[in-house]
Amino acid sequence: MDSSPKAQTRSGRRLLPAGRPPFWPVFGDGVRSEAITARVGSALGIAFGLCFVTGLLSHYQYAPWGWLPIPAAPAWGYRLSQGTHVITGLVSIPLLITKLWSVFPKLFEWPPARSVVHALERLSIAVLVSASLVEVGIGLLNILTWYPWRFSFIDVHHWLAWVVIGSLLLHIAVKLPIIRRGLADPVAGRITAPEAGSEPDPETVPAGGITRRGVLIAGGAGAGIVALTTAGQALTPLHPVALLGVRDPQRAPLGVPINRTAAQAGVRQLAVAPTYRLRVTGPTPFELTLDELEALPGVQRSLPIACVEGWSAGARWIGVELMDLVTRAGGNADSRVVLTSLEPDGPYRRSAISGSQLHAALLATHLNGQRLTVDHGYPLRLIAPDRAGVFNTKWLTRIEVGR
Amino acid sequence: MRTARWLLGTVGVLLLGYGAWRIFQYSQATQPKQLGIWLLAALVLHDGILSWLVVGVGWLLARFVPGRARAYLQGGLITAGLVTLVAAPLIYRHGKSQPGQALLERNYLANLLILLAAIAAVTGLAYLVRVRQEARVAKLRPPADQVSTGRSPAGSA
Repeated sequence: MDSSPKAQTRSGRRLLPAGRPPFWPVFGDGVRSEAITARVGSALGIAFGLCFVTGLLSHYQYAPWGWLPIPAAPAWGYRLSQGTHVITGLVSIPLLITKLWSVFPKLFEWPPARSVVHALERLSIAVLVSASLVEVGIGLLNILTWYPWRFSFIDVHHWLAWVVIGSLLLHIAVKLPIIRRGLADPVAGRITAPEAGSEPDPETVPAGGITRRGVLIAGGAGAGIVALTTAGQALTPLHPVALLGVRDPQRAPLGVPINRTAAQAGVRQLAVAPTYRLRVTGPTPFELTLDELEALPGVQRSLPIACVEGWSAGARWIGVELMDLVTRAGGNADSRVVLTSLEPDGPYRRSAISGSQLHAALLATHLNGQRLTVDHGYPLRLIAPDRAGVFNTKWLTRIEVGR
Repeated sequence: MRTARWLLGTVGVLLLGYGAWRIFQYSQATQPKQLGIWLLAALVLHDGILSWLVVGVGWLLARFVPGRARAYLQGGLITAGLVTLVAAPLIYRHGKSQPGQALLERNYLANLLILLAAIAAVTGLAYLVRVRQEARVAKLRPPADQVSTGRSPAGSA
């Protein structure tokens, strides 16, 4: 791993001067050390690993295999996994910045590449760094529903995650001896040279400054504050300190935030039209008017609603069991049911449900003791356990009972 | 360990290749050209601007703030900087949502200022505790001319 002149002399002809050019930046190492990099890097690696796994779980909600429907239990499964995804993703931001700070001088090692293999290794680090920065950056903007780009967030966030994890595993494989050395190096080690700019001058720059322990405490505090002040959108006990909480379920109408309003979906008139009918298709199709629908026997169920953007809220729902209508239309417990919204278009106007989620699903008319508002999906919406929020289709108008 | 490293590295290259292949396969959705610009811009913003700002602040602190106080100032600035980085887009997007979404409705600027004040207070308190501790330790130490080793004690922090 050490830079030796061997590789240069072997190549015969030198592309770059052996010594660094005068304009090339030189850093005193200061407090930067393998001890810090290995520790912050380990924390970041764990956060990225958790983020990747929970991200795949969420992706499965969007594209499940037909033979393996998403289970209905535990009802809070998606609430936990996606809450974890967003919190670890947010915490990754301070960890990533601290980690990159600790290795910044390595960007300017001379010569920039000692061999083809070394050049490829450095290139893979560039991929890891830029993919990680973009991945956590667009993740943050997504929970703010801010999309200053043309590409599909879902596709890029998903495929770039594989690039991040792949280049991370490669990076760990290459650096494993250094990681072990760094973890064995005690945090209490004293620093000698000061943190400084391009030309550290021990004569004029006083020694001292932050220690390794100090850097770890300060970086850890940054990550901890981000976690504490954002987690309240999913973890109710942390709601009082959610100073940087993006969503605020307790301020939302009926206690549940709304991702897509009736106006955004273009259903403000359609949802309250007197001509509203719920059409149920299948072997024995039928239609229900609003009055008939509301006269059906209702059940009450407590189910959380959890969004891909990381917020979630527990709620009480009253509604008709979806299975009742499915059976009446000639379907059974093995049916695959497709629900369609009044929404004229949009990627989530239809959703499919089957397996144990179908058995537990409600067609909700009431939320937390009150009739659904138009923004919450009036006159009728789906709610099922362990199901990503966006697939709890609102403003239902058609139910297709398939085989 | 050697085998494990090769295995890990190979799996890494495969996953990396899989992601890259999918990005190009679904180019309609992923817009590789624009994504490439974002990836490059991230490197430029971080390695070309943000990191140099940090280096510059570090250099100024090293130049003008004495060692012991600088340690605490650096620590406070690291924490404050990291929190500000996450809070900045929230402040910028505050209020840009539909009513009822319960989205971005807090006063993030005021909340960030509260957090920064708390960080400053904790850092300042930690510094004062350290100063008092060292003053107490210095009092317990024998005067320099009575130290048996003959070397002067490292009194300056």
